[in-house]
Amino acid sequence: MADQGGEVDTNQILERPPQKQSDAKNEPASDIVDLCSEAFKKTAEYIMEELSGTVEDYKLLETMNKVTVSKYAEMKGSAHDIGCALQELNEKYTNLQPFLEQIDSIEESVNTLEKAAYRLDAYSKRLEAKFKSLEKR
Amino acid sequence: MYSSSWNQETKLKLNDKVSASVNDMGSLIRHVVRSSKSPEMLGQAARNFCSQEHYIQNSSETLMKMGLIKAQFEFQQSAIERSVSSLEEIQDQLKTIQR
Repeated sequence: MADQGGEVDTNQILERPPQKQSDAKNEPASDIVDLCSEAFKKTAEYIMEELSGTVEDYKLLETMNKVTVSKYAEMKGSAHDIGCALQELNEKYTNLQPFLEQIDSIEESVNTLEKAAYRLDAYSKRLEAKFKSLEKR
Repeated sequence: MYSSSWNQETKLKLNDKVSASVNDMGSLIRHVVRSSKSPEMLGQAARNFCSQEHYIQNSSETLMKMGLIKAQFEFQQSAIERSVSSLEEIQDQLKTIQR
């Protein structure tokens, strides 16, 4: 765009026509500023995406760690419950010990009774046989 | 004419320079990430986690089975306690028979 003297002003070629000359000397064009901001924003996004791979690895490890922590907490609770219950069972078994000894003595008595019953049965059969033989005479 | 071609050349050079700067930045970031060896270490950590998962699952199942066995023990123990109450009567009957 040529000025009134016919000479070409380089600054005016580089600038947009609607802008005033005073503004053009002090500040760049607003759309160029916008384009620069956009360019820097995109560059920042590009750099962030380059680093996002490592960030995703860390997030994965964090998730896996949290799941493992919850699993271990659950197992800890189960183990604790089982431990308490087994302690109670041991105490109850200790309290039952005299009764178990009574059961053992009862079993011995019953075995003795059973043997006596077998002997009695055999004696009664011998008696029956002898009585029958005497009857036949 | 000369100024317009100079302007065009300046724009092309600026464009190339900006592209080169952005590519250099990307290369620098990639180099920093690679030299820190964090992808290898993180991958190894994830693999170790996965290898332990089988053992953790087995331990969890074993604990569940132990819980079931504990419950069965408790049922049996309560049944024994109920049966123990009739021991005295049985002993009395045995003493009577033994006389």
